[in-house]
Amino acid sequence: MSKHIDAQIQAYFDGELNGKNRKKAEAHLKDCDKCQQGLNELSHLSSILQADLKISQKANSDKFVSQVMLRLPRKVRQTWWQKFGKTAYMLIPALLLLVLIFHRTTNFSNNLLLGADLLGIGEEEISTLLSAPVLTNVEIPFPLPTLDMFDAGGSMWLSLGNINVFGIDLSNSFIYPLIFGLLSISWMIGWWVTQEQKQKLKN
Amino acid sequence: MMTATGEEYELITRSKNGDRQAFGDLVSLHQQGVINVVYRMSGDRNHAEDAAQEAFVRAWQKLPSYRPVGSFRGWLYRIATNIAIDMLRREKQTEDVDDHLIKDPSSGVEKKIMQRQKSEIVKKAVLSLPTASRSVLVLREYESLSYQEIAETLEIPIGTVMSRLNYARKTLRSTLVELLEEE
Repeated sequence: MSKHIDAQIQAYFDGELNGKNRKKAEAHLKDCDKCQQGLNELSHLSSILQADLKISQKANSDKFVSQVMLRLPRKVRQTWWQKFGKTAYMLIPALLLLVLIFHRTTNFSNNLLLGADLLGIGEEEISTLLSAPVLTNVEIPFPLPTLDMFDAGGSMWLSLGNINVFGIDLSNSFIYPLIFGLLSISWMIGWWVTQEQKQKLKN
Repeated sequence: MMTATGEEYELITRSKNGDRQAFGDLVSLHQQGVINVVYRMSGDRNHAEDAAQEAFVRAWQKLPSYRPVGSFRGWLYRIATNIAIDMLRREKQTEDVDDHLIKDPSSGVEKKIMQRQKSEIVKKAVLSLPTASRSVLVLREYESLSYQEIAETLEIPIGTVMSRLNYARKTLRSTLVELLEEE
C-alpha cells in the first residue's frame, strides 16, 4: 500500500482533484482504512455544519429586494475617468465651433490681406506680413507658422494639403466644412442615442 | 475561473448603466447567498438581512469599478464578508446561546430545542475560528465555492485557501468532538 494521502484527502473531498490525481486518490482510499476514516470525518463534519442551513433560508425574496431598492442611492457613483469622459464628450461641440471660427477667421483675414494687396492698399505692410518670417534672428528648432504659409485663399489648414479642382480651392470651400458638418452630425447622433438609452432605462 | 453567465452579464451591464430594475434582478438572484455569508460570518441572524442589504447597496455604489474578469458572486461575497467583519468589530459581544433559546418562541418542542441547541453549538464553534479561516470555511461549506473562486473572492493564493480550510476543519473537529461522536 502507498503512503497516506492526508494532504490530498481534503482536495478530494471538495472535488478539487481531477484526472490522474483523482484516480490515484480513489485507488488509495479503497485500500487504506486510515485515509478512508479521514474522508468520513470530513464528510461527517460537513453534514453537521450544514444541518442548520435551512434556518437561515427564511428571507422573503420580494420584501428583501424592495428594501434594498429603497436604500439604493438615486445615482450610480461614477469613477473619475467616467466623469472625465462625459465632460470631454460635452466639450466636443465647443471645440468644433472654436476650430470652425479659427478656420473661417484665418481664411477671411488672408483673403482680406490678399484683396488689399491686389488693390494696392497698404502695399508695404502687407508684403512684409506675407513674406517676412517671424523671429528671423532667433534660432528655433521647429518652424513657426507665419502668414506666408497661408497662400491664396488658404489658411493654416493648408499645411495639411491643398485640394484644387478647376482652380477652385475645395479644401476651404467644401472639404473642411464637410468634415466639420460630419463631425457635428456624428456628435449629435451619439448624444441622441445616449438620451434614448437613458429614457428607456427610466421607463 | 467562473465568470458571469450570459443573462447575469447582461444584468450587470444594465446595472452599471444605472438600470435599477436589472440590479433588483441581481439582488434577487444572489440575496440568499449573501445573507448566508453574512450570517455565517457574524452569527447574528437578526442583523444578517440588514447587513446583506448594506452589502447590496455597497455593491451598487461600487458597480462602476467592477470588471467582469472573475465571478460576480465572488465579488459580491467579498463585499459581504467585509461588511460582516465590520459588523463584528462594531459588536464585539455575541449573543448568549441560552438567552437566545429563552427568547425563541418555538422552545416548547423538545426536539426542536435539541436541534436548535446543536446548531447554536456549531454556530459558536464556527464563530470562534479566526476571521481569516472562517471566511474560507463559510465560502466552501455553505456556499460551495471552488478553491479558485475563494482565492479570487478573498484575494489570497490557492495554497493559503487550502491551509486555512484545513486549519478550520481540524479546529472544528476538536471543538465539536462531542457532537461528532454523538451522531
